[in-house]
Formats: sequence, C-alpha cells, structure tokens
Amino acid sequence: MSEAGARVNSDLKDSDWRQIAEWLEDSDLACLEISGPGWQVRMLRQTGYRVQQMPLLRPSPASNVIASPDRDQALQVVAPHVGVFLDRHPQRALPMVQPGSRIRQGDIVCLLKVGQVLTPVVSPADGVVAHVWASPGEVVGYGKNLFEIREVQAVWK
Amino acid sequence: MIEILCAGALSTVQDAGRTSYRRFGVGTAGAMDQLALAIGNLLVGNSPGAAGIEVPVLPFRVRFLQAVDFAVSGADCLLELDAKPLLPCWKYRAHAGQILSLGRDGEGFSTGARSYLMVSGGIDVPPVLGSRSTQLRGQFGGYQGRALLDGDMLKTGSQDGTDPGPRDAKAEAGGAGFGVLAPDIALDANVFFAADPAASVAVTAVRVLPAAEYTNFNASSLDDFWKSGWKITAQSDRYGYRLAGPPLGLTVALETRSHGVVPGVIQVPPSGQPIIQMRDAQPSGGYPKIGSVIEADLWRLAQALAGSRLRFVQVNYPQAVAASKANQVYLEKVRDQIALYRSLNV
Amino acid sequence: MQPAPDEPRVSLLGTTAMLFEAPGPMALELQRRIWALADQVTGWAHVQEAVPGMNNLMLVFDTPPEDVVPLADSLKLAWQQGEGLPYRRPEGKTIELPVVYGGNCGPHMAVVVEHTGLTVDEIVRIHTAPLYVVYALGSHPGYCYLGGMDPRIATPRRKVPVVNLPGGSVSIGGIQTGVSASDGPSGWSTIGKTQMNFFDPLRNPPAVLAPGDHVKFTVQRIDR
Repeated sequence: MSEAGARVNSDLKDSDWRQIAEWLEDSDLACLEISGPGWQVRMLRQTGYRVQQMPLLRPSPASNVIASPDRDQALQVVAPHVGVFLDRHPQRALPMVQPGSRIRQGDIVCLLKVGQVLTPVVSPADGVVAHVWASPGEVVGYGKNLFEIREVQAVWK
Repeated sequence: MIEILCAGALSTVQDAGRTSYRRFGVGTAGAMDQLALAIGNLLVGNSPGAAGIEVPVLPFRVRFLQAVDFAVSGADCLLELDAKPLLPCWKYRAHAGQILSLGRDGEGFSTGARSYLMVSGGIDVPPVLGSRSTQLRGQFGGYQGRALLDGDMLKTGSQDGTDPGPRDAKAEAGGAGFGVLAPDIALDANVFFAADPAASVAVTAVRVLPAAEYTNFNASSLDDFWKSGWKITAQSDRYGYRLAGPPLGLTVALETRSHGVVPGVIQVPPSGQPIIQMRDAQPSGGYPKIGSVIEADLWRLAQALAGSRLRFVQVNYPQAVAASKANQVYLEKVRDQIALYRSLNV
Repeated sequence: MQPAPDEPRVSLLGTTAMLFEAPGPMALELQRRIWALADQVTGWAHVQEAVPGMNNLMLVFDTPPEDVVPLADSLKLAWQQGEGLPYRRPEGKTIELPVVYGGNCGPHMAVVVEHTGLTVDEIVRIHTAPLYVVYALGSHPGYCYLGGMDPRIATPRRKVPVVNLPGGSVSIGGIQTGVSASDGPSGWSTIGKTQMNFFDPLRNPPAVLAPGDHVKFTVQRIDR
C-alpha cells in the first residue's frame, strides 16, 4: 500500500489504514470513503492505494437515513458505510425483508459485508418495505440507497 | 450469572484446552471446534481461548441473570432470545431475565454437530492445571468436572483482558450487534474438496498425514482407507469417533508399545474399524495408527454429525502446515476487523 | 520407509507432534535414555512438552516447524550421544499395592488363563514377583505404565475395548501391566483391583508417582 504525499488527518492509525486496505483487497473495491468527526478520507485503488483527504460532507443526524424530498411519507434507508450488500445472512435461506414486509424500528433489514465482518443495517422506522434498491452481492458505497420504506409510523431521531 | 434451564446432554465448559500435563496422563480436553470457540470469543470481546459452553445435543436453554454480551458459534440451529429469532456467529446483548434457546424439542442442528455459547468475560470457573476445560475422566476442571445439569448456575467474569462490562446508552442503542463469516464459508476458497455429489448423506472431507504404521497395512486396506466414505457411528463422542467401513488389515500382526497420542490420530484396533482420537481421548495408547487428521481440519471433524460420512484426503507435511496457517490468517483477520469495526462504530 | 532395526524411528502425528521410538526389545536401559532425552529436549524450539512412553518419546509442538527434518536429526543425534552415558535420575520411592485378584475384581482373569495356559495361582505369583519400574505416565490422569512384567503372562489387548472399567483396576495389555487411576474405558484385560489415590489435580506435581519410582503388587486375596 502506498501513502499519499500529504499527511492524513484522521482518528485512525497507520495500522488501521493498512487494515482497511486489506478489506478493500478482499472485496475488489476501487474506491472507499471513510469519515469521522471532522474529517473524511477517500482511498483509491490504482497500483496501490492513494489516500486523499476530502472536504467534509455534512452527515444527517441518523447516519443511515435520508428523507426523500420528492416522495411524501417515504423514507430511504441508505448504506451507513461501504460494503457488500447481502439481503440475507449467509447461513439463512430467506431474505431478511422483501417488498411488502412490515418492519419495526430497530429491525435488521439487511447486512453489509466488509471483509470477514457482517454489519447490520437497521430500520429507523416502523413501516412497510416498498422497494429494495440494491442486489445481493453488489458493492455499495456510503450513502447508497438500499430500501424505500412507506407507511412510516415512527422515525429515529 | 447464567442459569442452565435445559442442559441437553454432554454440554461442558471448555476453553482452548489444558496443555503441558500429558506427561502426567492428562489429555488436553478443550473445545472440539477450536475455530468456533475463538470466533465466538472474539465477537464478545474475549481473548480467543477463553472458556465457553460446548453444546453437542439440543435443545439447550439458559436464562441470563445479568446483562451480558453473548454469541453462538459453531453448528447452526434455531436460535431464539425470548422467542425472537437470532443470527448465528453474531454478537448480541442480553438483558437480565432473558432466555436464550438453542434448538427445539425434536429438532437438531441444521448444519454441524456442536454449538458454542460464548459470553463476555468468559465462563468463570476455577482454572485447574492452567485451564478451565472439563476433564471428564478424573472429574476436575470446567463446572465441577462434569457435564452440565438443569439448575446449574454458572458465573461469568472478566478474564484475560476482556470487555469491562455494561456500556453507555449510545452504544446500547447500537444494539443490533454485528457478526462474522463462519469458517465453513470463509475458509471455503482454500478448500479443494467438497461434499460428494454422489452421496445421499453429507460427506465431510478431512486431510490426513500417514502415521508410523501406515506401511504395515496391506495394499487393499490402504486403498479402502482413502476411497471409502467412512460412516461416523453413533458411538462417537469427545473421546473418539468410531468409524464403520471395510475392515482394515495389517500385513503382519503388530503389538505397538504405548506411546503419546494427540487429537486426530486414527487408530485401528484388531476389529479393523478405525477410531479417530478426539479431545478427550487417552493421551497415550498402543493400537496401530494408520494416519492422523491434520490439526487444521479437526474443527471440520468436530462439526461432522454421527450418521454422516467422512472421506480422508492425503496431504504432505508442508500442505498440512499451510492449512494451519490459513486458519490462523482467517482468525487474525477476524480479530483485526472486529477491532477496527468497534473502533469506527461509535 | 522403515529404518534399520537398530535405528530409532521418527514419525509424525499430524502437525501436532513428533514421535521418537527407540529400537530393539523393550528395556529399562532404553527407558532411562528416554527420560534423559525428554529432559534434554524440553526447552528446545517448537517443543511444548516432551511425553515419555514405553521406550518412546512424543514431542508435542507449540507451533509446527516449517521443516521437520532438522528436528528429527537433532533428536537422533541426541539419542546417539546419550548411549552409554549414565543417567542420574533419582531412584524414587517404592509403594506397595495390595491387590484382590480374580473374581469380580478381575473380570478378565479367565482371558489371561486361556491365553497363557497358566493357572490363576501361577498368574498371580508371576504378577506379584517383580519390583516394577514406573516407565511413564499416560492413558489418563495419574496412570502409570509399569515395566518389568514377566512375558509369560503377556495377553494381547482386547479386540473390543471395555467401555467403563472402574478406577483401581489392575490390568495386562500385551507385555505391559498397569493400574487404572479412575473410571473409564480400557482395551486391557483386568485381573485384579487395588485401592490407591494416584492423582490430585490441586497438588504440584499432580501425580503421586513419577518415572523412576517402583511399585510392588502384593496379594490381598484371590477370589475364585
């Protein structure tokens, strides 16, 4: 892994960046963006990994929700970080949710695989799954739309 | 504290095992599936060799008397916390009073043969001869040197530099937990064998290094050894896996002298039916040995159910060492990626 | 490939351990050299524990060496260099074990009678005559492998092992004899029963007997 010329300001140690580079190798990603309080960094895979400091994006209060401006009473659940989208646990036959599934706030709706780790994407609201935007095995980036939820009853603040 | 509501049968407290007392006749004991033990421990923030509960028979139920992080690794089954379905190889937080159940009456494991319940802080029983594993023959270690019974109360405690305990409300809100890929998925890419499509019962393939008496077996027996789908009989357990198949014969009768034995050694008594020594096997024995299942594949053996079949695949020493390294690399990745996920996920 | 009959044999137990077997007939002198070898290799790189057996030694690896040949060669060299060297292990203690032979205490006495062609009284006399040496511990906690049994009462191991033999059982397996220290399975033929506590896990060392100690069986009674 090669380092950028400029010094990276972040909360992560060099060993963490090396670990993240390993994750990327495991998943064949071309680009990874990571943010923390007050900083955001993009890693690009070329012959090695170039690390670029990015201007800070303002995250929404609940980091996996963006209210869609053009659809009333619908919520988009988005990826809270990069990973491989899984609609079901690898050891389970059935998808966690499907269009039409009634879900509650706090339910795990899908998983993101990052290297060996499986992370949960959690519904911020009670409602009904209207659309699934990602397909199993697809590499999704931070902020990518995953689900649309309608008949929203309660939203996490 | 954990209360055992339904102990099943032969559930025992096990850790990574008891080393360095074989010369006193004390075998290692320890988890049959060392990978599942390690993964479950890493999920709940323990050191990989900390003590948990090995569950070979379902159903199994416990009540958590205090809040604690837990994970169930190893064999998959119906997992429920207060009737809410859970994911395998996943870190959860239980609150005081919640009941965890593995399996239901009449239903066994869906894959694999043994599950592991790991809790943050590990199972707190007194270490004996350096380990918390249960030594059934001799009745020491683990929980009072015996399998668990309904009504047993097990303390959980901080050991080996583990998570300190209850966390703040913000982390609690992130209570969906997280998981890892199980070994049978994560290690598949390096595996050059697969379930036998011609078999009607599941076939587990394990790699074997020939042992000292290998060349004393006759040629047709050696052929039978590598080609057969050996049935794991019902008389198989932590002491040994008794296999059924074509009788293996020596070219000339041998009476070998008692010598040290380790898990994986495949002995052939006069009956000609092989017995694979497992974690509770005698640390020494005298039957002729045809081979030894490599250490890297002992977890696969541990997850092969009685009634299913085994196939032996011949490898050489460098290949066997490489297989152990592959397991180690997987565990290191799991450890490092869990640590990174925790540090990023505040 | 089989080594020459006068050369030791080194083999592997998977990637977990290496087994060193001394050549030739079982002998106390060879066992003394095995004890010396065990003391010598404890502390070698890769060696987690050296476990003596009957004229053999198992080296359990903490991590397996990349190449086993150098370790095997070092073992053989150490063995050769030990030849003729006097090994000063303290002679240890002698304990007497009163045994109830035959009857319910010796459920397989008839097997030994049939195999050897000797009477029960002759078998008991031959079994109690020697001062046995503890060659090694193994099999289960506190169990001693004893050397010095008269080959006239040797009886092959059972075709089908017994599932649960009580602790204190005095048995013959091949050319060896021993006493079980706790309940458990066994492939040996049991000829009698004794009472003794051989193992305490809270003690240091946990086993009461050690290689180099001596055991004398005495006749408490013979049941028919």
